[in-house]
Amino acid sequence: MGTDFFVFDVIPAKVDVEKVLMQLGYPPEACLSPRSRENIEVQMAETLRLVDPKGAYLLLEGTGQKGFDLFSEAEGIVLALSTIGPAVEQRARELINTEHGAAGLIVDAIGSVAAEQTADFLERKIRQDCTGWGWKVSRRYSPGYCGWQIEGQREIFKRFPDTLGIKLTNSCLMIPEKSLSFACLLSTNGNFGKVKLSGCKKCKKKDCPDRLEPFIV
Amino acid sequence: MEDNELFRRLREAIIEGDSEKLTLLVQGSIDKIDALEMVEKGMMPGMTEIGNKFSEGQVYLPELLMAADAWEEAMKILKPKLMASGASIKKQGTVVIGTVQTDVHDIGKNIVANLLTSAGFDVHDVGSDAPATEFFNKAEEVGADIIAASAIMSTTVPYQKDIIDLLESKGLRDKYIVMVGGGVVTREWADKIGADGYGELASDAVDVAKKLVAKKKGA
Repeated sequence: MGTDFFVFDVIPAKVDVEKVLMQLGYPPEACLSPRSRENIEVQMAETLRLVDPKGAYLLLEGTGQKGFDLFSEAEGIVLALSTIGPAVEQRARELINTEHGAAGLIVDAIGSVAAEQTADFLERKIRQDCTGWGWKVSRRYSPGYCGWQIEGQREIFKRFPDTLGIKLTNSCLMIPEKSLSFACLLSTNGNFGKVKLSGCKKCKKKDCPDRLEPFIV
Repeated sequence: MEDNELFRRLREAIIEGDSEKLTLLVQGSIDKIDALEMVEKGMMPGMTEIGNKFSEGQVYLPELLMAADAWEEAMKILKPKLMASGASIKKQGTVVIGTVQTDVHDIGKNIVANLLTSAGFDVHDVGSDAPATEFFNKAEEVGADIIAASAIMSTTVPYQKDIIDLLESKGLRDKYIVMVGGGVVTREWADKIGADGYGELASDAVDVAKKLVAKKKGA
C-alpha cells in the first residue's frame, strides 16, 4: 500500500430529492405548490446531465503524519478529494445573472447535494477498500469543520497536485466550488487516538448529527 | 378588465411567482393602464404579501425568488414606459454589493442583490474578489446608502473589516451603512468589526436594509 493513489472518474451521479428540499430550506412537513415542485423537477432533470462526479484518495501509513497534527495518533490517514465539476455552478450563475434566481438557487442546491453524495460514494469506496486491507476506518473530517481550520486544505492539496482538475486558491477555496476534501483515520483495532478537534462546543449548529461535544450556550 | 381586477391579478401573479402570467397581464394592459399604478397598486402589494408569507414561514426562499423573478420580467416591459412618462418608483435606497477580496463565491450575494432589487432598492454590484477600494469608489460614484459585503470563508471574512477601516481612514464611516453577510459571518463578528447590519440568511437582507435606511433617514 504505502502511498497508493486511487482515482475514480466514473462515479454514478446521484441526487436525493429530499436532500435538495432540505438544502433549499423546506422543512420535512412543507407542502410545496405545484409550481415550486415543477421547478424543482425540471431543474433536477437538467442539472443531473451537468454533474460529472470524480474522486481520488491516497493512503498515508504511520502515525504523526506531517501537516496533520490533529490526527497524529492515528495509525494511518486516508486523504480524499471529490468533485462534480464546474458545469453546475456555471449554470447556477447564468440563471441567477439572467433574472432566473429561483432556478439558479435550485440548481445550486442540487449541485451541493450532488457534491456531498459524491463524497459519500468515495467514502464508502475508501471504507470498502481499507476494510479489505485489514483497517478500521473512522468517520470523515473536512477542513473548515469541527475545529479543523480551513488552512488544513493546503496540506491535503500538497498530496494531490493537479488532481481531478481541482485547484486551491490562496484563500483555501476549491475551484470548482462543488468539490470536497476530507480525511478518514485508519486503525488496526478501532482506536483512532485522540482527535484534537474542539470546535463543537462553540458551533451554533445544535442539531448536527456529527456533534462531538455538547453545545454550550 | 376593470383596473381593480387587473391590480388583483397582478398581485396574485407575483405571489404565485408566475412570470408568464404576469408578463401577459402587463403586456395586455400597458397601453391602457398607467405603468406606475400597475407597479404600486398591483405588483408591490404582491411583493409585500409574499414577503410577509416568507416571514411567517408559509413559503420559503425559492418562492420568494420566483416572485422576484416575475417582478424583474415585468419590469423589463414597464421600465421604458415609466422612464418615458418621467415617473419613478419610490426608491428604498441605493446599495453597493459585492463579495470581498480573494473570495469568489457569488451565488448568495447575487441572490441578495436580486431580492434587494425587487424590494425597490437600486443595486450596484461590484462583483466578487472586490477590494475595499472598489466598494468605496462605487459607493461614492452612485451616492450609495448601503455598502453590503459578502464573505463565505474564515480566510476571506477579515476583508469585510477592510471596508470599514477604509471608511474610517477617510473620515467617512458615518456616511455609509455597512451590512455584512455570508457563510461564516456571525452577529458577533459583525459587532466586532463595527458593521451596522448583519443577516444570517440571504432572505434577511431586505428587512435589515429597510430598517437601517429608515433609521438613517429618520436620524
